[in-house]
Amino acid sequence: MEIAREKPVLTAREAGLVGCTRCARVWPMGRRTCGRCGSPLHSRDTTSLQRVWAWWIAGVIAYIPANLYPMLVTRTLLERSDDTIVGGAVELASHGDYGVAAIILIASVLIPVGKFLAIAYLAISVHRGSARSLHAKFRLYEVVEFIGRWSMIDVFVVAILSSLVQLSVVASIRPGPAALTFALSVIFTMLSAQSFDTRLIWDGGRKEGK
Amino acid sequence: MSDAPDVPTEEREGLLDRISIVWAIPVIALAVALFAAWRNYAERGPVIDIHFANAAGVTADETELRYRDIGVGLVEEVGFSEDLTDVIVSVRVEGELAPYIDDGARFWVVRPEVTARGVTGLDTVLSGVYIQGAWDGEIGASQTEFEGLEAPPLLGAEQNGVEFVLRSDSGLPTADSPILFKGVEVGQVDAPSVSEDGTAVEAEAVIYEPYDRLVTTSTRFWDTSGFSFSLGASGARLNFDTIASLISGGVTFETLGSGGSALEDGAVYELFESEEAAREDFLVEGEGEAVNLSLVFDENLAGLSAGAPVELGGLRVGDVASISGIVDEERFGDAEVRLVAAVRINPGRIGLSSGAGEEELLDYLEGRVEDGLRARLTNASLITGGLKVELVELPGAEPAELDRDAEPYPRLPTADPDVTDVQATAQGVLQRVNELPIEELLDNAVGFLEQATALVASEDLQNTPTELRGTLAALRGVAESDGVQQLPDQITEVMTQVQEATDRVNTLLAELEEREAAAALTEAIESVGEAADSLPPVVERAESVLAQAEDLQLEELVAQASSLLASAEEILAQEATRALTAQVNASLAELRRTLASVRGIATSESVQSIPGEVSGLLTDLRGTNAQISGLLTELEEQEAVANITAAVDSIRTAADSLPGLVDEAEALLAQARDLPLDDLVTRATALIDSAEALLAQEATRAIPEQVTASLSELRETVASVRGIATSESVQQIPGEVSALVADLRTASGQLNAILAEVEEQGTVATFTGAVDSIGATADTLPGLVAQAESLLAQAEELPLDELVTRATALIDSAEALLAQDATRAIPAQVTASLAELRDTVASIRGIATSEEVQALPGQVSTLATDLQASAARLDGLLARIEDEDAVGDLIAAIENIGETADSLPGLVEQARSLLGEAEELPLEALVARTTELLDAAEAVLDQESARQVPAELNAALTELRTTLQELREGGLVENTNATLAAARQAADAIAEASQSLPALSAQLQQAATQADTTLAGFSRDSEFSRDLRQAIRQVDEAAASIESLARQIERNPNSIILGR
Repeated sequence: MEIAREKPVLTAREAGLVGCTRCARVWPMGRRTCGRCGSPLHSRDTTSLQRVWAWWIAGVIAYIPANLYPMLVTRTLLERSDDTIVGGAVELASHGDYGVAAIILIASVLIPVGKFLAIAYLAISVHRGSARSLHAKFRLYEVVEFIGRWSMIDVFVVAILSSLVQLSVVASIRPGPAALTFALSVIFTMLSAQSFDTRLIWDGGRKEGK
Repeated sequence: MSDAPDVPTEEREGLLDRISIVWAIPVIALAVALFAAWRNYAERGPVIDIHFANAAGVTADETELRYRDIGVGLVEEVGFSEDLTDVIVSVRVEGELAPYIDDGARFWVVRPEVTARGVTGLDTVLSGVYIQGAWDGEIGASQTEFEGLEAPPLLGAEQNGVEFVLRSDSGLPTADSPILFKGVEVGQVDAPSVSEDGTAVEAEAVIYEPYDRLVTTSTRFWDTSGFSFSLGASGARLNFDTIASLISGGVTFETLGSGGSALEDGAVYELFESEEAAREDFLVEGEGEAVNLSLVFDENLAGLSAGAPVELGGLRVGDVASISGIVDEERFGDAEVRLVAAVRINPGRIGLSSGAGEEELLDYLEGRVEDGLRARLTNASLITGGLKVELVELPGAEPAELDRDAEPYPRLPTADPDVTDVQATAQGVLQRVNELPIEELLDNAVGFLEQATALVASEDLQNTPTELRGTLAALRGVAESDGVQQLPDQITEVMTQVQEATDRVNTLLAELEEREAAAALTEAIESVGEAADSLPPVVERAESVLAQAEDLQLEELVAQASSLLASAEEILAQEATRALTAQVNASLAELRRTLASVRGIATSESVQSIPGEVSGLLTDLRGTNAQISGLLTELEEQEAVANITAAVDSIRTAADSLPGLVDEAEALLAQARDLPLDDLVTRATALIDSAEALLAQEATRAIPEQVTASLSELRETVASVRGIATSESVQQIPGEVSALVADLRTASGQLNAILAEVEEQGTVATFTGAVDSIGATADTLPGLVAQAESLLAQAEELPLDELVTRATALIDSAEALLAQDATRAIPAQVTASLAELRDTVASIRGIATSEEVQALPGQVSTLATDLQASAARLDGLLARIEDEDAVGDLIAAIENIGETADSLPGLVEQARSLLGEAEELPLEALVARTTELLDAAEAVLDQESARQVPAELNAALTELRTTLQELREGGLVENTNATLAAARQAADAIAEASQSLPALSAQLQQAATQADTTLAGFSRDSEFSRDLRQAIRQVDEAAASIESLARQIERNPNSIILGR
């Protein structure tokens, strides 16, 4: 922003060039495929926002049952307990394990919800062509990109427990239906974030500047 | 720069290109989510509310609703009803099953339960309780409110059956008791509860399918709870069905009748205490046609109880249903308590037609009551004193009638009870047993046993074993000597040899078989048979002769003999004769003195030297034996055996003349048979009388004393003998005996040699001839047997009884004699003598243990060895016989016999003529002569001189006595020595004479050779063999008759005396 304000930057598009998004080679405008890596060349991905929203919606749909259904089915000799994500965290907290409860809440609730909100905000602001704080938006996108993979931590815990605790009748842990939907939700969110074309952020600045 | 906005995209390519394909993902996700949500909702069943009084363990979201043990719903909520009286359990049931849960559905909570029959609901311990539902398979009107059961129902969800009610006056088994049928659980009884009126307990019960068809209205149930113990004539019995029924109780049943309608839901059955009660109820009640009657008894007797039988003529027709008292002043005229018994009577049991009901029974009873039928009490059990009701016809009863209108039941008139007191009778019996004099009996027994003990403990009895032991020890010494023990081995060897010889004989017999000797024998037997055919006429003649002999005046002869015996009796009766015993006594005294002398002699030196003499004599005998050995050697050399063979021929000729001899014997037996033995016996009896009288004399009684004295003498003499036995000379005797045995061994060697000779000569043929002659003799045996039989018949007729009586009297006299003191002293003497004897035995034992005697077994062994050698020789001889075709010779000999038999008919003719002559003999004259002779004898005996014979006899005895005296004083020993010396000389002479025997044997041999050639002249196929066969057949018949006689006697020995 500061830079844009002080000194207008010449973009590739303005220079009549198209940069390959994979190998970063710059080609002249009008070329369809990258001569180095063979990927298609677009100056701007017009369907980017569509895909972002599509993945985003799928992720939200998958996230609902992930919280309603049990994540972990613990069966011991005497009893069987079905724990949802939030229910498990609350139970842990009630037993005094606040640290663990916090980790679960952050990894399984706070982060995914934050991602949904972040992606939605980015997509809307790009759609509107807002030119404010472009750099902050870009940094937000990078954080979302980076943190998205860590959302799977809950799914990993379930997978490890399921494979380790299989003591036949005495005790066994199995993943609940929520594990699958939660994993799907994380994947959809990641795809949504990946579909976002960051160049569009900067186009907003252009319009405003104009 | 200005155209920058103009270059947004390369080109526009329609709507499809502008909308990303990625949109399919959220659409699909949404579709999936919606579909899942819809399906979840669609499959969700309705919620039903079940009201429980107590829902212990039911937890929301955990407790399942199960149908046939499969979860079909989950408890969603547990709450309370508005007034807090019930627990309401809301259950979400599966939609598929929801329509089936209608008003027939039942719900109960399954909890773990431990009973005697096992543990149920164990799985609920871990998983928690669950709600079990049961409903049928038909869709009914839907319902959402249900009442839950407090306990599991009898029929579970998976069971079908028929529910009914069990009822009992006394008690029912605990809840969940099984109903067993032949040990199989076919149903269950629920918890009992008291009936509404409080008189009984009732319980729901169920019979599972398909067992419900076993139960009809003819079925009776009874309780098998616990166990029953009974002690009776068949022993102790402990009965129980199953362990479960032992602890918690059980019920079983049986369908006692074939009819009856099937079990229906809600039917009520009585539960009986025992099988007996159930069966009795069926007998009375049948299928419900029993008729109730009431009986009023004037006496209230203890012992009648409900269930007691009602009998008609011993047949049970009903029972007592209940008993109560009644006081009815108006009706009976006083305030006495009376016994009212309600009874049930089954018309079917009385014999009325099967369809008979109350009316028919009452009509029948009415008629019978007019005839005198009454009910009365009588004893049911003699021991327990129980009573029963008896319907009995009493002809003299007061008139009464059946009261049909009486309340509550028609009343049957009663009569006085017929009850007896059994206990009093039993007590009387025990009293009598108590009074038996058992103690006196025991005292007597104890006394008897004491006497017996004293007898056993007497010294005499106890000394006897010691004596026996000493003797046995001596015997053992001999038996244990080495030589005796070696004997068995020797004998074994001998037996081996004998066995070999037997084998030879076997082969010899086999050879005989091969040569068809049997056939030849058969032919010979046939010849004899022909000869026998001519015998009958002879027999007839013989019979006539015997008839004549029977006519003889033998009786007279017997009479004479009788008078002779009478005379003898008279003589015996004389005093002189009686003095004879005194003389005998004196003689015995002399004898005693003589024995004393003998003892003196025995102790004299001369006698002591006798053993020495005997030794010398034995030495001489040995020399003689050597001579005999030499003689035998000679015999061997000169083939004396052949001569012996010839001699055997002669014997055969002699045997030929035996038949005639037999004939004579026969005739003699015939005569004997006719003798008047009866009289003789009478006479003998009289003689025994005399003897008896003689025994009764005092002198005779003095004899025992004499005998006693003599025995003491004898004892002393034995002592002397013992002295001799211990003398050195006697000790040397064994040595001599050994030497003698050695000589005998040499002699047996000689004998072997002679046997060898025998082998070489054909002696066997000669023996065959001898056998022929014996065969002919056997022909006459049957006649002889007949005679013997008739003689036995005579013997039979003898008055033996009288004789026996007499003998008894004699025995009495003897008994009196034995009772004398002197006789009693004899045992003491005998004892002393036995002591002496024992000492003597000890001496003999000393001799037996001497070395020489010990050496004897060795000698015997050697002798056995020699015998073994002899057996070997014999064996060889038999082999020779085999080799030399001796069998052939035998056959030839048999043929010779056949020829001889040919001449038998002629012989028979001669016998016949002889009998003819015999017939003509003047036996009567002979008898007359004999009679005369006996008369003469009688006359002689009647003479005085004869009477003086006893006196003479006395004198003779006196002489004998003096002679003995002289002997005592004279040089008897010297004479004996001289005699022995003479004997030695005689032995020498025999030795010399034996040297001349060889020449004799040579002659004998010549004779044998001649005989052999003679026999060879007989041809093989002559008629003789045929005759021989006949002869043998006759012999066989004779043997058979003897055998039957023998068997008769054996089977019934009395037949000799009794004739049967």
